[in-house]
Amino acid sequence: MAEHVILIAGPMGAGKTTAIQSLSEIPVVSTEAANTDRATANKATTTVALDYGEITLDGVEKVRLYGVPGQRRFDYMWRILEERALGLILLINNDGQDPVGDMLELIKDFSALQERGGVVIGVTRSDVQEYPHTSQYVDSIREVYPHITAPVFSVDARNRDHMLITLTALLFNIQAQSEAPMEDVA
Amino acid sequence: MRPTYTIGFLEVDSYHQVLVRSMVSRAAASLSATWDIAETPKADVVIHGPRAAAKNASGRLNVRLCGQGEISNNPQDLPAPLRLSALLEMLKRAEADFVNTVGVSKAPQIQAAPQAPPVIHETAARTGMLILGETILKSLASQKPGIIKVLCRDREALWIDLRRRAFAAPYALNEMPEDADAIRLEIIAVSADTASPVPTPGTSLDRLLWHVGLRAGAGKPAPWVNPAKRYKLKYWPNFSELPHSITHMNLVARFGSEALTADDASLRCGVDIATVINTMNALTLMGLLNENNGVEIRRLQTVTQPEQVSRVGGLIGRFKSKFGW
Ligand SMILES: Nc1nc2c(ncn2[C@@H]2O[C@H](COP(=O)(O)OP(=O)(O)OP(=O)(O)O)[C@@H](O)[C@H]2O)c(=O)[nH]1
Ligand SMILES: [Mg+2]
Repeated sequence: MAEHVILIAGPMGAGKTTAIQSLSEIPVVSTEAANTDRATANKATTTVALDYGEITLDGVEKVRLYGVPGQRRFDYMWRILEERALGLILLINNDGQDPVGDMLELIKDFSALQERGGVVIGVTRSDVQEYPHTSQYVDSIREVYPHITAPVFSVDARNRDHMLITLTALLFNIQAQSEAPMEDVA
Repeated sequence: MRPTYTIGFLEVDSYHQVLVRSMVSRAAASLSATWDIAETPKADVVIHGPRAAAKNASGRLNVRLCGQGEISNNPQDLPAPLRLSALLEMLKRAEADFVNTVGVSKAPQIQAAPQAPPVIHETAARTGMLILGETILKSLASQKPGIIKVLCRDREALWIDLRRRAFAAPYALNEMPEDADAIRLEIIAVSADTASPVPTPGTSLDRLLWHVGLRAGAGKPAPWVNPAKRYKLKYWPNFSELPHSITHMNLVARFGSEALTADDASLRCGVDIATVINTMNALTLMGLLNENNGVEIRRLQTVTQPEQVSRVGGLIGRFKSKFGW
């Protein structure tokens, strides 16, 4: 069976576990533990090891969804997954301390994926905190990566349609980037 | 009956083989024959790599891919980087040649390309939607973007405050009439302290521009779009807030990865030209497409894994059938 790996990364409380629950067709495997860092995200539990979900297509192709826990993204295991990954959904909670900065730092961590159009950004919790506006995320990516147009959407991780739009855009973006003729002058 | 011809490769790298394969499948609708990829270099059309020896010509028609940076005056050469339009033109010429030389086994030579007739795009009728789009653009481009009051028949006014890029509609946008007679516009000059008729936060102007832009030309280019020019995407619209189809997403992604004309985009995505132009009308109205005036944009990505090309395409196809897109 053909398999594709999609990673979902983002700061603590961004909605990674929730997003995988919205997309997955199997019960999501998560390892949650009591949250001792209520200052960063005010919620009871946080993911300590991994989130895992699946979508099966036509019974012959499987999309594996892995949630990459915050700081654990530097671990050896996650680096291996990154190499196998087709793309990355980066979720950024708009109510974080410095959400735009968090996004830029995470894109840098996954720059190999970004260079081939394999990163899409979903800004979550903008219903909780209105600013920054998505245009601020867009502007700052354009400054740092002027040659790549990464999709940026405002999403609610609990909304399956939003998460499907995000995943679809990611796939189209990867396809378009990889089929564009290689050229210096666009 | 539709003839079937084959394409073979001689010393062509796998990236270009995959590229040709995907271009041929996307161009299928524009060709009069069915084109299959042959597993051997014996084929009707044989594409030679830049360094393949010419004496090994084994096709009825032999063409050569130029190397990176190579400029060639030979009309039989495919320029680098390979473009869909060049490949399509070559295959059309081959089709014409093969029809005239049925049963002739010697490889016919390609004649100097007769210039393809330019595609003429009719301009759009001046509907209410088009005039509204034009009025908004004009005001946005002015020193002082102002307020526009939109009156539709006997409905309450729809207010647009361009200073805040927001609007307020007393009805659903798809209840808005599209013909010129039904819409009346009033442009209201503003000073800094003019109160906004749009209650905060209002609806994002993009929502209105997308709606108006998709309808402004009814399949024909709006005056703010030149379909002969190549356009490149500045950034993606926020699709989670816009009613859209999978085709819109496909088109946006393509315009994000290369500068395309309307016809290029139609071929690349296998989408009818009217839908492409409607989408371009909307994206341009939103300020998301830039005319590409030969500005150099360096692509950092120089290596694409060829297996990825078909892999993602297949995956998208399965998503489409799963969700009935
Ligand atoms: N209001 C609101 N809540 C959201 C949104 N997206 C996600 N949430 C909620 O935010 C909370 C955090 O989501 P999680 O899925 O636990 O976040 P996470 O990224 O897995 O967090 P860690 O595992 O701790 O890193 C949950 O209660 C979600 O229901 C949104 O757009 N709006
Ligand atoms: Mg979690």
